[in-house]
Amino acid sequence: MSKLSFRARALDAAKPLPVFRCEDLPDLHEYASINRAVPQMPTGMEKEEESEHHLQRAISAQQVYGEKRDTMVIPVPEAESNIAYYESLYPGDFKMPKQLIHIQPFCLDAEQPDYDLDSEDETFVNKLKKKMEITALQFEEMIDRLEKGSGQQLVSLTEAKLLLKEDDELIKEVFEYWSRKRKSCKAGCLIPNVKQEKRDGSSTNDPYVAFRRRTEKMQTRKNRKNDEASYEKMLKLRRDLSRAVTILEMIKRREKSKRELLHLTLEIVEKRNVMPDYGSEVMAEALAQCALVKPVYTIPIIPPSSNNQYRHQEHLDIKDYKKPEKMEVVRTKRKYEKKPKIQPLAAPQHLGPSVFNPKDLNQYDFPSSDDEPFSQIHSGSSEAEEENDPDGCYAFRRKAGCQYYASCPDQGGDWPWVSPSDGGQGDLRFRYCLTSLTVPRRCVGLARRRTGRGGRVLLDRAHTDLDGVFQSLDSDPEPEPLAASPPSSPLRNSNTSTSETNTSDPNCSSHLPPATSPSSDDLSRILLNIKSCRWRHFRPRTLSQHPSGEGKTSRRGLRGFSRTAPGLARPPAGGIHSQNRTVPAPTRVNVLTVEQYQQHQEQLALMQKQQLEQSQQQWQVSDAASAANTQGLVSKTLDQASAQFAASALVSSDQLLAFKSKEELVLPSGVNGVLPGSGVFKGLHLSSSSVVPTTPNPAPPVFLQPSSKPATPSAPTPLSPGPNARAAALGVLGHGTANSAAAATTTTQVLIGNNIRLSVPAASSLAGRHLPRALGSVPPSALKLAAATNLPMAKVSGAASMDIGSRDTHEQDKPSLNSLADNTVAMEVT
Amino acid sequence: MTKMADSATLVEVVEGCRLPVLRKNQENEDEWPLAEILSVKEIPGRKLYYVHYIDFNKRLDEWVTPDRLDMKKLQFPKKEAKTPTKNGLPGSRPSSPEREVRKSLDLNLQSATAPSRGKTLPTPKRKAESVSLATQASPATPVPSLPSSTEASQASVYPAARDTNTFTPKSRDDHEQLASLTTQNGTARRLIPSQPGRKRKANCGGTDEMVKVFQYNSPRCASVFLPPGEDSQDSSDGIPSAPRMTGSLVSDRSHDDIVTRMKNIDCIELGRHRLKPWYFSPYPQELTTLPILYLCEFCLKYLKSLKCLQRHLTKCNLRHPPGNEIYRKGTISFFEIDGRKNKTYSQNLCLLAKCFLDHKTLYYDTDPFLFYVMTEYDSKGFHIVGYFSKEKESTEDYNVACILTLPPYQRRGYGKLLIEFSYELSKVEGKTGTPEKPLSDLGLLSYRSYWSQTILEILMDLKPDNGERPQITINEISEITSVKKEDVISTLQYLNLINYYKGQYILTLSEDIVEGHERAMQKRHLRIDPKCLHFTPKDWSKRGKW
Repeated sequence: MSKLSFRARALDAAKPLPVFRCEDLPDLHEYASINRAVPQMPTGMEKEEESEHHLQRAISAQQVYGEKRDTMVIPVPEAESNIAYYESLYPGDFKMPKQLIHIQPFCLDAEQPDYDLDSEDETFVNKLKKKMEITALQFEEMIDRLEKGSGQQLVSLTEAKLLLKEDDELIKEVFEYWSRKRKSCKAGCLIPNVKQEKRDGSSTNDPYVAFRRRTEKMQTRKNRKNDEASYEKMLKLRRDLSRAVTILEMIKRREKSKRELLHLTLEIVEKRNVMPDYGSEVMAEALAQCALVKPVYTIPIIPPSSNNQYRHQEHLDIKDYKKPEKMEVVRTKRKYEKKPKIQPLAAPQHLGPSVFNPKDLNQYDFPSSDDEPFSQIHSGSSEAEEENDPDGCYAFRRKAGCQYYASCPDQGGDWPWVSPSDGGQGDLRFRYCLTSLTVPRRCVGLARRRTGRGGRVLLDRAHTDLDGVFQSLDSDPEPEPLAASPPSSPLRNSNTSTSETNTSDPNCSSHLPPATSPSSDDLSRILLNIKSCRWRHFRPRTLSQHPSGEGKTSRRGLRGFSRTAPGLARPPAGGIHSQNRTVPAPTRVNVLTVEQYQQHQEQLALMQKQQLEQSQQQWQVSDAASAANTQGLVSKTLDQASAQFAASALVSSDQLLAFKSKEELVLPSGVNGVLPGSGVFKGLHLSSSSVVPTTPNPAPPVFLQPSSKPATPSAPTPLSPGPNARAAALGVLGHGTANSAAAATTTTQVLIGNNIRLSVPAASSLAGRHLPRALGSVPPSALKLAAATNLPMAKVSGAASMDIGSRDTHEQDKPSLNSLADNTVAMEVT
Repeated sequence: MTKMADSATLVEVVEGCRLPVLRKNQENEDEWPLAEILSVKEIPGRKLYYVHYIDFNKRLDEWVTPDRLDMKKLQFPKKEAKTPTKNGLPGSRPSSPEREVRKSLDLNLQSATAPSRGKTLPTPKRKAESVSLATQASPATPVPSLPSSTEASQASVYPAARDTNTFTPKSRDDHEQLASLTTQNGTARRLIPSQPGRKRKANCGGTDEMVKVFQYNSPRCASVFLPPGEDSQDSSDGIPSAPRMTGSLVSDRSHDDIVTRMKNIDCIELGRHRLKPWYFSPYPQELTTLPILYLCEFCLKYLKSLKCLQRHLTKCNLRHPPGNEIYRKGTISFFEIDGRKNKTYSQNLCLLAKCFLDHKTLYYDTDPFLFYVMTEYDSKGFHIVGYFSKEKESTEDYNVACILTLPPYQRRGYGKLLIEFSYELSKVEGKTGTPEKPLSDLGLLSYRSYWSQTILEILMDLKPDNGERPQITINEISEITSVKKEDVISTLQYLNLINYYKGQYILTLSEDIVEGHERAMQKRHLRIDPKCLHFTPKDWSKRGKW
């Protein structure tokens, strides 16, 4: 039959088998012969036993009758179940507990003798009872001790006396009885026990030896894996412990230094007292001399494999934002007199590859002595650390094998807004002017506007005694509550207190128009000055020009900003207003006019040119030191700004998507001003590759978003993206990108100028440190949103790493670039 | 020398002989199955023979009186089968464990004299001796039912027997002890010979043959000389040493020697029951001579006398197995006992269980096992009904290592209850499982019955979905029941449900099957209620070593 000519396929356990009743398939028997194709499964019994008579009989009986008949069961030896004395033997009073029985560990080993008295013992004990006190249990206890006390050799009487607590007479009796009985006992032991394994292995085959120890542990895969895991854990533990040792050693050294400092200070005070230097002239002199020779703190470099102990930099920054007053107080306390106060962050700057900022000493977050106020902020506890570390998983992590240098402040020196004495150009455009803000609508007093990283406009504010007057200068009819009660506002308080540092800086004050000197007079004079345009007063002109459209935009922009504000981990009072006033991006955009924009472009071009020039020069060490102040400000501002921008970028990324279509309209309009920037961007591969991961992610959306609101061709577009393909792929590199590319240019060229030490940290600090922070300060929800809206982050990082790969000719840059790549990857992971 | 009254010739029935032995079957009728004499002992006035009925399970082995032997059909141990049944020489044998000797042979280490094997040194010498003797002897070896000449041939064979004897020194000593306790007679009868091979089956000469072959030939080709036709278990016989570390059962009978082939405990009293053990169990040897071994019903401690038991009960206040109760419904409870934390109880339980489980090995400690003890409650406490053990981590999907319903509770549905419970645990664990192999005959029947009922229950409950024939995959059955796929297939096959029909496999339910199943399910009152199970599986791999 053809049906038999093929082999049936193997049974597939995953294939559905239809279930039929036999009566439904009358022709089933015709197919029966193929059934053999189903492989026979083994029964799991031993072959020889399987053939046993009774089993076979039972199986066949089962198959015939469906169920076993009684006679076909497998016979087994009989068992009785009618022990007459059972009832009396076991007590019958056990009540079933309501709950499931749960035994406590170790409660089972009640101290009961293992030995059980037999009838022979009983007669002996009864006999003994006539002479002395003994109970059966006591007897059992004694025998038990004796038995367990003797191994191969019997316990001797003297040993027995040590072993037992009873009186000698009794011990003697029992001992004699026991040794007699034991000798006559064939087993050699009165407590029957399962035979133990012999040490020499001769008992391998003794059938009476049971329950041998498993000497070789089972080597299952699981266990091996387990071992590996625990080995790794041990390694990690060792690493951590050795790190702890290092840290403790450093603490020890630090405390020693502190003690020394204290002694020295005491000495100084005593000396001054003797001198007597009550006017502190001598001191000032000495300090001035000291200023030339910078203190150098060397700290042993800890193996860079450690991950998070270097995050102190961020901690510091945050701390600074949080407690500016406190720091101020501390610093002033340290300087004994009313010397020009050094800016907290900029304080001691220095050079040298393995030279660390003194603040680095704080990286080991130990609450130690009282003169370290901020150490309490993040005192050890990981929870606190988490709070203080908004970066979370985006925190900058050191990479093994990379060398990290202290951030180099020197580059800030040659900005157009820096006074010539600091190595800048002291460009007039950057002098301090009266400035008003759109939102909140008020006059902020003297400020100067300059461009920061990413094209953001920063307002440096200067403090004068007339601030109160300036506040009221604003023509805005609706008085802001904030402005109305300046002294009581904490915001304002912080403003004044911090901006004091600016003012007190001689460099800054030198830029102020003479009229604004603290001694300057009354309101009418100022007003007069302003009116005669001797003082420039920047006010948001657009407001009046396009009240309807722009008002709307600014509201929207403001809304966008306010949405992001709560996302910032730190309170705005401490952070945003601390020293530099960063104007929210949307507002700023509205403020700009075409004219201003062009001016701005010119500045940019100029800046780049200057930077190119300057980078050719070797910088003077002293210059660098004096520029430190500015740099400190700049980097800080960037931090602030980037945090804000990142936040708003992520939040508004949906809007960005909406804008993307319009962006194409913008592109052709070819904002020429950008071109030089992008040219630089393109030309300087090195710098761009290091910048790329930094800027594009958060920045472009911020830039683009506000401009998308006007959506009119005539709208000023300081933000039009660089029209090169890469920029587009990166999700549009804005104007700001060009700027920061320019900034990075500086670093690169410095690098070319054989000043590696200076350049690399800039790249790494720009890219590695600030960006992750910016992202980290964004609330998780915003991040999720960003992920959901498909922000081209992943692409960006990909491109960035490709860049890095293709430009590896610059060996020096590799470490920092790698670290950048790391950071970007970390972002992707989100 | 025993002379059979009805035998014309002078024949001694020795170990290894085969002959029909009278036994009563279940219908209480006489039958004369062929049996093998495993041991002979003399008690005052008569001899007793320990017989194993060929093709019957070992549990029916028993001591019989001479009058139950059919001497007319006596077969002597097969030919040169060497049969060195007895040890004619005093027990001065070198005490090297036979295993070790053979191992060393296998490893081609015969000349090696590791310190630990110092005692094996004499081996080569004796080997030489045995060779000559055995070769001499072999032509004269008695053929079955060869009447005379036994004395001479046996005498000549004995020396060889000494070497092929598979006793370890230890077991031999034990055995002597045992023998001296149970026999009166002198040296000639003292030792129960190892002979009839470790295989209890017909081809009893097999292993001996192999042993001998080893001795006669260069050990380096040991494997070549495996007697053909021996099953694979014997091929692993060459590497005795310790049994594998996993599992609880030996499928490899190479560790069977004559001692473990014989029941050593006469009777066990446990609570209200008197149990007749079925197999050897390594209770302390001094207790094996007792007519009754007493066990505490709750802690299972073994005691030599009723008096001791009474004393023990004053001190033992356990009224349930010393573990956590993880299931209770009605009077049925299950207790979980950790073989590492509760060693004493676990060992006592194993000793008891070994009395009824042939393949169970007690070679290693109980650490890697959990014991699930099923109890029935009454006013005296929770009485053990049965148990199963389970490896904490099984590398082979075993969800049961050993499983036993104590004989007084057998054939009342408890076995199936135990099995069902074991699968409930697997369901909680989300795994499929299978019992460790080999299965015993009763185990096979119980499991098959459980599998059949479980699978049929599912198949019968299948509803046709929207007019289509109901269908189900083997994997689905396996997932629902936690029964391992292979067991599902074998059950379907056994029930003859799988048919190949028109190009595909189908499952067919015949009327017989359906009716049989319905009848069986009516009788199955005891069921596990998953709601009463309070069990959280532990991940033992994370707890270090067991």
